[in-house]
Amino acid sequence: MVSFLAWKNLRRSASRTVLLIAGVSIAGALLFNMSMLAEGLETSFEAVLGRLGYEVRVVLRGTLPFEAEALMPAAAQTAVSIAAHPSVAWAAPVLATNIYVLTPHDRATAFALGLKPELAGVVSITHGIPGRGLIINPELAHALQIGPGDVVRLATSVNPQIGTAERTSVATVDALGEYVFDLRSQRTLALPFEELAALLELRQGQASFIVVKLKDGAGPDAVVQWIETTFPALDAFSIPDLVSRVRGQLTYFNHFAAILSAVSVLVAVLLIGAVLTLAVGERLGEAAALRALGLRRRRLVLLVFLEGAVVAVVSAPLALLLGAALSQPLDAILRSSPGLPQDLHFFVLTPQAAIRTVILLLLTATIGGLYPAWVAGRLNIATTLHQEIQ
Amino acid sequence: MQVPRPRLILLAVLVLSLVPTATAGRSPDQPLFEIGLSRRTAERLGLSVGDVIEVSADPSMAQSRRARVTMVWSPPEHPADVARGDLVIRFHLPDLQSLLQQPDTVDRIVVRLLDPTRASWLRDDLNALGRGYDAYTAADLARITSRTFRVITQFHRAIALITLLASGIFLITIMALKFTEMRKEIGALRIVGIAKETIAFTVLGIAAGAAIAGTAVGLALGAVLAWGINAYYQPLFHTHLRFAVITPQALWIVAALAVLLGLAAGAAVSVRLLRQHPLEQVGR
Amino acid sequence: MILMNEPIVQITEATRTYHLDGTAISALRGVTMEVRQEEFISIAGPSGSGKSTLLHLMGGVDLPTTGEVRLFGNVTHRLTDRTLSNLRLLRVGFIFQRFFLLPMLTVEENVLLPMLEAGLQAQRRGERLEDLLSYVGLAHRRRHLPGQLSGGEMQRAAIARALANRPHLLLADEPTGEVDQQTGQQIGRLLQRINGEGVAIVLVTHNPELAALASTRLTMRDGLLS
Repeated sequence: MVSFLAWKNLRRSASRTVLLIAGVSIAGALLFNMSMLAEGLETSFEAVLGRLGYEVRVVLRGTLPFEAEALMPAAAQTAVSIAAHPSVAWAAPVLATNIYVLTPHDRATAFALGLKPELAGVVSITHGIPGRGLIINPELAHALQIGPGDVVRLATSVNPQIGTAERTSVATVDALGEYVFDLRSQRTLALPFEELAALLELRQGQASFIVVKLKDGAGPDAVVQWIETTFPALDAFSIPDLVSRVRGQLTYFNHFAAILSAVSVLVAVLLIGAVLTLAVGERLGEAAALRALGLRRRRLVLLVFLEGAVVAVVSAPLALLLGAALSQPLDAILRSSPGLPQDLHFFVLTPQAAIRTVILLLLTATIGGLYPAWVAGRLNIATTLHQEIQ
Repeated sequence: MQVPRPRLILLAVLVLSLVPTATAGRSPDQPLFEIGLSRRTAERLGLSVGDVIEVSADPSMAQSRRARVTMVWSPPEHPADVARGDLVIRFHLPDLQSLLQQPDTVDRIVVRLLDPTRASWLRDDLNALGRGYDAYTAADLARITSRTFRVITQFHRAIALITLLASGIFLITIMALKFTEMRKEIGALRIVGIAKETIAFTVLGIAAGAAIAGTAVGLALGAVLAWGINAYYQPLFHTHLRFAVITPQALWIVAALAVLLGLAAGAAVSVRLLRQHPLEQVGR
Repeated sequence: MILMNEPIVQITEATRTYHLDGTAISALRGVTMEVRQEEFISIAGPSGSGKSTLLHLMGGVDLPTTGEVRLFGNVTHRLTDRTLSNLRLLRVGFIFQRFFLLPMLTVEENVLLPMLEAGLQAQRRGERLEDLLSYVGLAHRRRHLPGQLSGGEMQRAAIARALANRPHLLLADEPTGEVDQQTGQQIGRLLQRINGEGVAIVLVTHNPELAALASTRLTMRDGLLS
């Protein structure tokens, strides 16, 4: 009976209920968005790292994990040693640098990766067949109007005095592909590790960093510790390490999400609380009559809470839908920031975010219903009936 | 055209390892470098003017050089650097080139023009030469470096719009409820002959009054929140930059919106109330 | 279990004092009375004499400041809210001057409400609803909302609701206060009929014609019965 009455009470002032649901839905949508934002970047970053196909990244001690400026001496030999560890499936050195790509008519700079065959997973081929030549990304293909089969010249530098390319070699474009960690509008190419090493005139197995793939079931922590102990000049980072380093830089978004979540909850609590308080105030006579007819105090309190809960339950799917819709443009705005990997998202729709939003909305309805429920609960039947008749 | 990703001096310096002179092998014959430390660097490393340290471009401290701290300075703060917490060391250019073993190599060249209005012309001219570098005017650089902040501003505006929508509905609902609660009194006033216009103006007046009072409380709350945000983040990021600022523009927008929304709610409610029969309003 | 000759309401030296802005107001000043099964009592008296307060004590919606009220053998101020509510739900019916029908519910929904709260089975609810609506002559108005009814029809709907769980005691507080004289007479006849079927009635009224229908007529003045 109480749920029937709660439903009827909400339908009684349809426009008020619609406004209430609209307000709670928008506040809930914002709450959902902030829930997505709070962990979205980290989740997305973790997902992108996971797609790279390795678990540990080894860099020269003292350098930053994503910088590739300093060259690690004897990296090829070190990779072989690391690969000998029983938990390691393979270890591969990677070269990363900026080079010039020249066509007869044009010139562009590109981020070049020298990859061993084990790292084929960092690029998804869209056209062509990879071989000993270049795999270029669509941005580079578009900039120079080149594609599979075209021949280009690669240069490590251009003389600023006379504008001529220095240390050049000729390469054929084998394929077009999307790189997992490409920055937005970044031009990227990959070529075999040895080819890039030759172009850079590196003859002692130097590399920018080493990536390590672990055997199934092996934990990264032990391997990271082993690498750092065995090779004191190197730092090793597991994916959780990298994520936790990035987490420190996400303070702004986490705090922003926390503040706006608190504001959304407050708005929803105030809205539900104010509407229910006024609604209870309007219906004191009816409530007293219901009590006189035999409705228990607890049932009357439950009725008020239920009205709030119905609003939350009706608003929750609307909030999730609206939040999901709003997260798209908001994500697009933030993703237009310069220097971000193109697969990185700020708003990631996860079941946890949705569940958290629904729970918070129900909690909001409960908190919002506390005061009106207290008013209903302490209602004196005789006095109220008497006042209503005056 | 884009130059290869510049190796900023800042980043090059970041990879420097610093060790106290007593613990590392050094070359006493070579003259001391003179270096400046940013206040953050000095505080982090516990150094002050006159201290001598050893610097190297190599983590293993190979090819290290001794350097004396001759200056501790506070670089102008930039919002982009707030979260990075970079440690900055300033070298004389030849010293850094020698340390990096890259003589006559720089990351960028800055040019001061006799006539600053011709900056774009010079930029276009230099870029047309196609010598493997890019030229930018100071305005270009300001625009490029502020892109992140433009994005954040755009994001804040989008969020503000959603918040406004939620608060607008909140305000309208509360106003509607408040006046629905007053319907008996309004019905009684109409029965005793008070004109509809007078009642409508009264309702609007009350709505405006409530909106203005609410705005004042809201602004005070906003000011407290802004103060709290700055009080929390400034020490967190070791900066004097302000994270939340109440500008006169924001103040006017908020006040105008709140009052307008209040009035709109009042108007909507008074139309609804005046359509109802006064006897119905008093419950007869 | 109440025996036939036992009173269903027994009030002993009951007082009720309210406090308003620091001033003590004595609504009842030591009332002793009984209501027996099938009895029809009317209580008349000027406004503020304590009639409604006495009715509220009988129904267990209010408790005496001193003295004792026994409702179906139970001392009301010793009962939990749950037990007292159950007593009201199953054994007492209330009729109010302002009807207090729930405006968003139809006549039949209003009448069904106490049955739903009592957990009556659907079939029995349906049968009893039909009986009650026919009994008060509102079968044709069952789907109407209270706002669409006349004052008399609203009071008849309220009577049907009060009878929903077949109470032993019906408490009516100025049931004709909001209706015209003719409708008042109809309601009076309906109450007489209900009493004739074994339900004890305590009626608070200003209306002498209505009061005259009762077998026992009491008058209240300044919080005392005379």
